[in-house]
Amino acid sequence: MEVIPSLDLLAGRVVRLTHGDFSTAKVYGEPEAVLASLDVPRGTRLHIVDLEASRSGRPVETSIVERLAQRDLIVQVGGGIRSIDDARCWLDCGAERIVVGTIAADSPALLASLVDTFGATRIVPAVDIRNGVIRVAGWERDATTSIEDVFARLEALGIPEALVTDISHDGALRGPSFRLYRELAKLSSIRLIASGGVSTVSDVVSLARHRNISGCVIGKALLERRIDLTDALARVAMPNSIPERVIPCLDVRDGRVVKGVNFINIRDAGNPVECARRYEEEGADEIVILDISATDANRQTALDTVRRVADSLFIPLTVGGGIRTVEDFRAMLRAGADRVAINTAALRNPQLIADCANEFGVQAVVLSCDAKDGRVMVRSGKEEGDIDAVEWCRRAEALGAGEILLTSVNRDGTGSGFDIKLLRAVTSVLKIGVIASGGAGRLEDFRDAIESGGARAVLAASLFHDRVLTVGDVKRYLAEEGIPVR
Amino acid sequence: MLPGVGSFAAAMRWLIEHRIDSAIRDAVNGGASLLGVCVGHQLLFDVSFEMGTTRGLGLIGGEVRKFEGRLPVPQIGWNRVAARGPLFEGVENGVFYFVNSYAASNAADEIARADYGGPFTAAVQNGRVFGVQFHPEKSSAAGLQVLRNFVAWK
Repeated sequence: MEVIPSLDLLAGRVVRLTHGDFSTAKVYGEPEAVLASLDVPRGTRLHIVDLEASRSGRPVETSIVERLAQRDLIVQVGGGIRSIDDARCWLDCGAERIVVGTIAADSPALLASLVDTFGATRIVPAVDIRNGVIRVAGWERDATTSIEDVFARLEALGIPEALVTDISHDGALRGPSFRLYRELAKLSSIRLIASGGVSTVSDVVSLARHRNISGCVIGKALLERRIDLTDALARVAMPNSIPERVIPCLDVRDGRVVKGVNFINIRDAGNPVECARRYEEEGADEIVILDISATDANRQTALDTVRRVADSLFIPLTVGGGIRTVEDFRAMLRAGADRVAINTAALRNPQLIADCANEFGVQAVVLSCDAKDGRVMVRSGKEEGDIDAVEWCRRAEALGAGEILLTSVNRDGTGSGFDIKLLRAVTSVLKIGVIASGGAGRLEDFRDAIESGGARAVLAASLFHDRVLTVGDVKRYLAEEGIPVR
Repeated sequence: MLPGVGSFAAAMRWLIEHRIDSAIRDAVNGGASLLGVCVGHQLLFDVSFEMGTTRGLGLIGGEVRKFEGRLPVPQIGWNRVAARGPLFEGVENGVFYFVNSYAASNAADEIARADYGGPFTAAVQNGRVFGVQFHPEKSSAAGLQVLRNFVAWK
């Protein structure tokens, strides 16, 4: 997938408008200076929008396009192109292709003659969609033709790629409209350049997993430094070989699984050893055990449970509940846990994160964060703290946490889906991985947590225990959706 | 078996202090098979650059260096491995569990390779000496198959 930086030009400079209002233009500087500051490599395709041209209907920033094309950049340019002459003007300036919006949706004859004159590979139709309807003329009105008909027409003309923007996602911080791109894949074989809502490197990686997406246009997120171009290019070039993880969670009290697991032919549904082993057989990538009864009095029971589970498990085991000191942490590792989750104690004493990371390595330290309405909850979700969840996760990373187990208390037990907004808020500011927890109800939820939420692992408890879905179901589904799994 | 979690330098120092380094070399020369795991795998190499420069056992040619890509270090989690040879016989799904910040790359004795922001050596074999950068004991069926193959290897 090609990563395409997008620059909007006005009066010779790179700008961003808010809601298309010219009086709001925020100026970023001369195009060359902006490109240099973004570390745009030679040979990169640029998406240039001539804002004045889109307003006046005549090409304006032709000299800039000429300069950029001479600098070994591949330029596609759009903005108010309404005739063969406009198109020729841009192509004569050195633009590789022209981007046409309104024409593509509403002027089939003109689109056909553009293709006839310049060739199908030099025309990029821009299709802006809101609620299943194409919008044209600066999003001012609905197109006269349906999405289906427009794509059929493009295909008939032999046009290979179309730029697709979901207007409702543009600038809305909800991420790209993966659902729209998925629907279009069913409708047409035309390859898509995704645009709108791309605001994290994880969004770019998720788009690259879609087979029908050949490019992604990034504007604001690059200019506002939410996406580092070099980083995004490196991530897209990487093989898609690191699996995302599916993790069943066992809530244990006094050595027994709370809410027994409904496995068929299991002798003892409350036995954590049997449950964990079954989950491994089904393809679980890791097991999390949360001891919700952990107190000093029954610490030995908890350690004994961990020991027994670890002895019979051949996948990583993460254990949490009642870890207050470095010594508690050490005891859990000695009992066979690979990683230990700390929660309340870290809130009271954040230095515990650093101490454990120094003593046992960051790979062993998981910060468990229960978030409600964006704030951190303490004491197993019973008491609301006064700390912003995103800030707390960020601090935990700085202190040495190797991963965050992020539970949405609002969604927990509802089956209404993971909290994508919370996940995006956290994953977009962290380098370390986030395990999404709370709210899993359908297969799509797991996909969305990874694809839109940027989670590196997905966790569920009762959904798996009650056999609504199996770990195998989830992994097969994720693989079908282009997400790598083990 | 030469297992290991921890730092290369500390592990090597401990081996030398207890004269286990020479015991390992003698055993291998005498016909024993050896499997190094994680840091144990790294110890087989000539040298590591974790916290300064430390000489390893020199049973496998090559150097152990820190990951240089753009992904978070340490690597914590599953990764797909392209492998060949008797150690991986019968492994259907070559995905293994890794926890490491350092790795060898392009080792002459490489029998498995993985990618973490750049290719690295996931397993090596030089005669009777084997090393795996991943944790077979945490890699479910695939890992158990590797251990089984090592035990069965003649």
